[in-house]
Amino acid sequence: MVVSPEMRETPRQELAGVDDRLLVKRAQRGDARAFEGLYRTHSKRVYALCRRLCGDGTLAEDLCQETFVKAWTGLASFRGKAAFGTWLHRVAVNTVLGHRRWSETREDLRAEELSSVEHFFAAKPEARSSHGLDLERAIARLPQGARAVFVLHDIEGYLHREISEMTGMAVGTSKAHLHRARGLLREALE
Amino acid sequence: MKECKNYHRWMNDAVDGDLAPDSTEQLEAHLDSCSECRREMDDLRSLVTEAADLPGEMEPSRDLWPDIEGRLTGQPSSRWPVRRVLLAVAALVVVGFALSLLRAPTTAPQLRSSAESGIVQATNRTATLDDVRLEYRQARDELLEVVQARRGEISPETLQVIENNLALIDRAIDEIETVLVVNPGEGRLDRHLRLAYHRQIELLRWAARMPSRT
Repeated sequence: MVVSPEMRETPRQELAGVDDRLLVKRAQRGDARAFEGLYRTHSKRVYALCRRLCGDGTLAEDLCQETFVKAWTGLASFRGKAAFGTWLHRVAVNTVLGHRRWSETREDLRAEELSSVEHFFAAKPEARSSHGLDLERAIARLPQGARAVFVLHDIEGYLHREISEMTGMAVGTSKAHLHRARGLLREALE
Repeated sequence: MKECKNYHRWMNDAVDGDLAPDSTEQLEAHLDSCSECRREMDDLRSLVTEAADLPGEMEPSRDLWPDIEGRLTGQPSSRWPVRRVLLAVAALVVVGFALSLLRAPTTAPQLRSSAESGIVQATNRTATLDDVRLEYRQARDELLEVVQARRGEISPETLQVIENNLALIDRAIDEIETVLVVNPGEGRLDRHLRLAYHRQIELLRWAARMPSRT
């Protein structure tokens, strides 16, 4: 989107507490500052989703960026039938699953990343149990398909039918990945 | 009586609330009599609860907004994609027309099987887009390799035409792929993307089979 210099942007100090719907309307008119407001509200959730899905912090940052750029580009098609956050999450999932580098993420790269998992919890350490950290590590070690389904179903709350729509895998395959993921996680956490 | 391992799928379904009532009764009866499976069921419930309780937010190592903002200023307006996609589709029609004017060479070099048969499913609506994309990429890579090896045999003017058309189709594919990521349910775009893959492979096959200029 080309931000027209004459277009009045929402001043940054006016962004706090502004409703998503209003920010979306302004962003749809080309107000990049309003879109920044949406970024500030949703970026940590989108990043968490990307991080867990791809198991790689640096790649997750790239994919999070990509998600917001795609959301900006496709904002005109957002009709407000679902909440903006819900729509944005779908964009993030599609961005990660459709990304070439995600499918090519090497096992050794993910293993390397495990050593830096702790930095995700730096923000609010009191809110994270050590068991939660173990679980995050174990999730990052899961095979790709099992990890994706576990994250989407058990963490993000998507139904198998929705996962099937997003990934193109059959509902039965999605269930099989989930059961496998849970089995592997239980073994890893014992 | 089912063996313990045969109850595992039921345990998962039960945790998700997907187990039929009669199966639930059988599972509960088994859990009452099997301490090992009861422990597994408890572990499974704990795991699912713990996963659902994981923090929904994580902090990236840096503020990503400056980079995003930098990319937005170079991006088209949110109203542009429709126009750009239409232009991309129009470009495909032009390339398709140009290809229809090209005669198939009579002495065609032999191509490898995947390049020869690649994306035969491109216009088959029953194949998933992922399958078509995979086939397309494999065929494209092999054909590009062939065309690259034959560069010296093709006149510079023809090569320029091929490269211009490939770039045109690449742009169309990029545009459509981007919009499909945001709106994966767009059936018409799905068809246009398959067509774009098909056009590119057609063009590359034509280039790969061109008779040598000598």
